[in-house]
Amino acid sequence: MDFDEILHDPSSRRAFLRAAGVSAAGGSVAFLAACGGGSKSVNATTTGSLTAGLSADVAILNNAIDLEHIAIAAYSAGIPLLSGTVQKAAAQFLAQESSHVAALSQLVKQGGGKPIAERPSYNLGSPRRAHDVLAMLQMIERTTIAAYLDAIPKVSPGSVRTRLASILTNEAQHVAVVRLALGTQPVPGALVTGSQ
Amino acid sequence: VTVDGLDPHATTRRRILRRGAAVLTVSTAPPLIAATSAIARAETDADALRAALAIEQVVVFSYQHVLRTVSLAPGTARLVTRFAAHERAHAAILTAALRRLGGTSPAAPADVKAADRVFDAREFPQRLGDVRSEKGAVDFLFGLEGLAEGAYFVAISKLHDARLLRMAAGIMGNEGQHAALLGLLKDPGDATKAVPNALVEGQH
Repeated sequence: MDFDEILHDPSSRRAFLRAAGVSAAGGSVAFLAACGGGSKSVNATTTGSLTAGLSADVAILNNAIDLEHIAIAAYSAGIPLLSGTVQKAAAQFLAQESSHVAALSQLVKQGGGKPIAERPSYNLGSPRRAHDVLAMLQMIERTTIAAYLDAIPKVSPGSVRTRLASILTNEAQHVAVVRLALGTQPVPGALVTGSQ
Repeated sequence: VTVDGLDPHATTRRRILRRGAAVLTVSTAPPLIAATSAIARAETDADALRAALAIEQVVVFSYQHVLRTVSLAPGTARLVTRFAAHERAHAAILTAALRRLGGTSPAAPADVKAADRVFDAREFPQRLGDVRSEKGAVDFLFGLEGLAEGAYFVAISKLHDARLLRMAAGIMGNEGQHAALLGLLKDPGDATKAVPNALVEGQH
């Protein structure tokens, strides 16, 4: 799958996201529901000491981790092509994506599941310039935001929802800075939707 | 990374102030000081929305006060004007959602002293009445966005309806973006200071 194709062709983007365990329907991105037969194999074995709610969240949380792994791969691959303050920001964002994985993995373990591992490789195309990298990062961050927005009402009320919201907000900050670096309006709307 | 070159055309200052005046005339209800603890105590979606709206109204008031009283450089003024419009939109969205649930809007602050009483009650370390300079305004608004993030963070722990949860999360993300851009104004070019936390919870 070619990078430009992923970036500009919605059907290629959907295929790219499907590879990450994310479903796309009607143009929007949605985490597969916990009972919806996700494409990833998820160990949702529970123990008696764990809440039924958290164990039901495991599949959704693992899909979030899978998406975070894509972001980590993209930042890791893209940072060498960036420079100056933008490169420094991207390095910070990479570290934050890793923190998201750690936070989500903790929830998965509390739910009696096993956090999904990163894939051996990710096909991110062949970005050659800083602009290509930033466009790729923008697309991935937007996709991740849309997925978290979809996931929040589907997980257990309380601390799991707020954890996802705290990650979503950080991703929204990333995309604003990436858009600024691209020379576009960094905060285009009053609500974060993942479509900008 | 700089915040120069932002689109200055989104909303005129006059339009924002006019819309703001409309919001500030909405309501009658419990003291704003109770807003945050009200979110924590909320039992229904209407309770949570009403408490979040009370905070949002203080945020709207504060942005408008800054735009009216502080001399800002053109780039800063464009940014603050745009964000003020977003805050107005949040208040309007929350008001409409609350109305659909049969709720009434809480009281907005009538003046700076009323807004500062809310900040004191929240143990917010700054006072709107002390904001005089551009630097002071940016510092204040940066902190204010943390307060707004915290309000939505708590609201998300209380809400039940899926649509309202997505709305609150979408607004919280936007407040986080405001904080990031204001952070870049505070420390130009340093996104590590503007986006310091992987898990954004705001002040709550």
